[in-house]
Amino acid sequence: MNIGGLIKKEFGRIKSDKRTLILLFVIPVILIIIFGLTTGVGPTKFFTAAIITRDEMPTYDNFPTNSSQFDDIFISIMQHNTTAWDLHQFFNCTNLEDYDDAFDICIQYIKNDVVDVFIVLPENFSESVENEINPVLIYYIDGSDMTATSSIEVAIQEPIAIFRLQADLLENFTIMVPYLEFDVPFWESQLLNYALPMILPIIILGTTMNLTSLSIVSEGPLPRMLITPTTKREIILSKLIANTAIMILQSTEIFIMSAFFGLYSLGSLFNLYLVLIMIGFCGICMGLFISALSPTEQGANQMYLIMFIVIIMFSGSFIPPELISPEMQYVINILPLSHAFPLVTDIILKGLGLNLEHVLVLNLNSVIFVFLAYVIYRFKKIEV
Amino acid sequence: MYRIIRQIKKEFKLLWTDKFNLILAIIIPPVVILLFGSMLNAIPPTPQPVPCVVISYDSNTIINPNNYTESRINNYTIPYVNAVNKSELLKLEYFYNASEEIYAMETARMQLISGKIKVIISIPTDFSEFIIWGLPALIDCIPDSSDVQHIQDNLNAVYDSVKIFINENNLTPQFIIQGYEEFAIPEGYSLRFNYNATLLLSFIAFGVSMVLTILVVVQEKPVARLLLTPVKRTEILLSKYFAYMLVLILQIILLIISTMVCGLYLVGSLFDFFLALYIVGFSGLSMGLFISSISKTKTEANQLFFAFMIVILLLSGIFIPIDAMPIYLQVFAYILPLSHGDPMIKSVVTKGKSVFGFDFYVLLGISFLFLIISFIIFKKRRYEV
Repeated sequence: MNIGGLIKKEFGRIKSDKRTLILLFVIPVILIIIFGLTTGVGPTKFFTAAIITRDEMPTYDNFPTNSSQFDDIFISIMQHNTTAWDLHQFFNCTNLEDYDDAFDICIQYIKNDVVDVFIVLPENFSESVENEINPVLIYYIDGSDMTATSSIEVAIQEPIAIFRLQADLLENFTIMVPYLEFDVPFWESQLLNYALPMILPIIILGTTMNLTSLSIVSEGPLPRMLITPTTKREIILSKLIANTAIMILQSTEIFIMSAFFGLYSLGSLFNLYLVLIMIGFCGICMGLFISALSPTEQGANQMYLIMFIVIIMFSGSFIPPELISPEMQYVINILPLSHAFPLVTDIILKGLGLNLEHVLVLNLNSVIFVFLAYVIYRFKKIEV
Repeated sequence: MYRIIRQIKKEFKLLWTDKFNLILAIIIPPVVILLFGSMLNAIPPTPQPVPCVVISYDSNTIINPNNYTESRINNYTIPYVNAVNKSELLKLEYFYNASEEIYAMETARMQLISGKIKVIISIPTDFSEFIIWGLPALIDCIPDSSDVQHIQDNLNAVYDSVKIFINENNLTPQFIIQGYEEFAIPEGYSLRFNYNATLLLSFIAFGVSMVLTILVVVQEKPVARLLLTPVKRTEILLSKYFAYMLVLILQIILLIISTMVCGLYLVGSLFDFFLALYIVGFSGLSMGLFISSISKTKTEANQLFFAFMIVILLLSGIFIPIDAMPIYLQVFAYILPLSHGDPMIKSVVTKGKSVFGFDFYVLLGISFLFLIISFIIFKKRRYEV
């Protein structure tokens, strides 16, 4: 049988299962619609906080007057003027019992994830501001939240800066002002576009791996075909070509749908499309490898899921590659998403062209997986 | 009851025939955890210094708007550059004096775009003057924002240099910030592993149990023949549930052992931890059996599994915070299992809370809902005997 006939047969097989055929093209659309709708809203407040002020309690330091007007200013700023903070509640404590109660409530708030942090303004807060002596701010943060602990010191500079302006505490005031380079402009859908470099490769790789992970293992008539002059190489090739054609349609669909929901790309859209196709092709090759290796459909599904999890977890997003041992860096560097993420990011956010190194490794991945699939299938014992 | 026990035995025999599948389901998830743990535990707790460039415009001329006098003071440039050098979080790659190198910013931007540096620090023309005049002095920080996950690290590093600069030059008054961490991971444990482990655990427990069951009804050929015997449909499905629930126990035990070996700091009780993982796995199992009951072919079940899995994953809050979604999607997200899995496991592991909270009951509700629907579908399903 010639290869054209085999490809036709593949398409016929896919067409025969109408419900699956619909799912093949409907699932990516649903995913992008859900994702597009998900990210339609702007960014949320980063920290939810509570404040306990002890400023009205008498202070025993060497201050000429006892004052408490500045804690109200700070609380008001936290309530109304900051972009990163959301004030959940504040407690005005005039004695130690009040403070102990408020403290217990705030600890419970942290425990129950009601607030991320609570700030304590000490007794001498207003006095320190008035006398221009270094005022102290004490915070208690949810230490189990790594994102919160790593950003609190910078985030708290925002209300402090506004407070210093309002309290006229400007002497020796030095502050860092961030200007984000290669960011998504505010008029674009920021959440969507920051997430797309990660989400697009995941969706395409997952869809295409899923498309082919059962293509060999679940095909009943395949062993019988081996009685005919058809070679195993032709079978693999026909599956590769037929599924690649479907993958191109799926990738195009995903690309168009992303554009419809406000895809922002600084670089060439053609390059982006090309990268998506390359990622999809890699997914096809990996799926064929899984399908050739697995003796049963359940095994293929298990292997697909595990590989998918491993590829995501070791893509460099959860573990920064530069921090791990060189041997492990090598493992991370051979996985497709470690190259897909930077490729898409470079095009979308930096406006760069195709990075040849990433392109090469991504395609090398595809070649290796399809070669392995062929070798495994070649030596696989099949009962005809 | 006797028939159900016999059916469960049959299910185990069926599972045993596919050893490859069994190995993947039971052995591989703990191996993934061990690999993940060993990688994260090997990471040093101190962050890597961020490569940066400092461009100083401070020696350029500024005109005081109050008295129209020219000023070229740059007394604080060198102290700030010294602070950058002293910071362990920054690695100064290049320093440019923009008065002499007029294309300094262009050069630095090219370095930023090529990935040689991660942040540009720009000292403005009026920096020293403003400190001397008692006005707010700004340091411009331009991080590479295409790497969203590391923007905060870059800002932290620059802030560290500002702190050193203020302290070394005795610039008062400043706010002294004293921080205390509640529910923190103690020293000796990897913060990174403990932070990511709960996410990975919920993902694996849910995914593995779901994928294990998506084909059990749709692919089993003897089901049709079984219907000729006195065995009832509910008994067939019930036996599948019980068999896979027992497998799930083994899976969860192995997952717990592997995370403990990797150094998980567990504040809550081991029982709560087990139950939290088990209910996440059970919801995956119920969904898997639901998919298997609803699908007509194995490929369809496989496609539906992927659709369910990716929607659940995308709306779980891992990629987009649930609070940032429109309200109707928030409602939808909160009825999906992974939106409850990670917070529940995290609260047991890091805060020692009881597993029997809102998240647990939602997961239990979802599981039973899918269980009931699966029974109804399976009961009404037509088999050609």
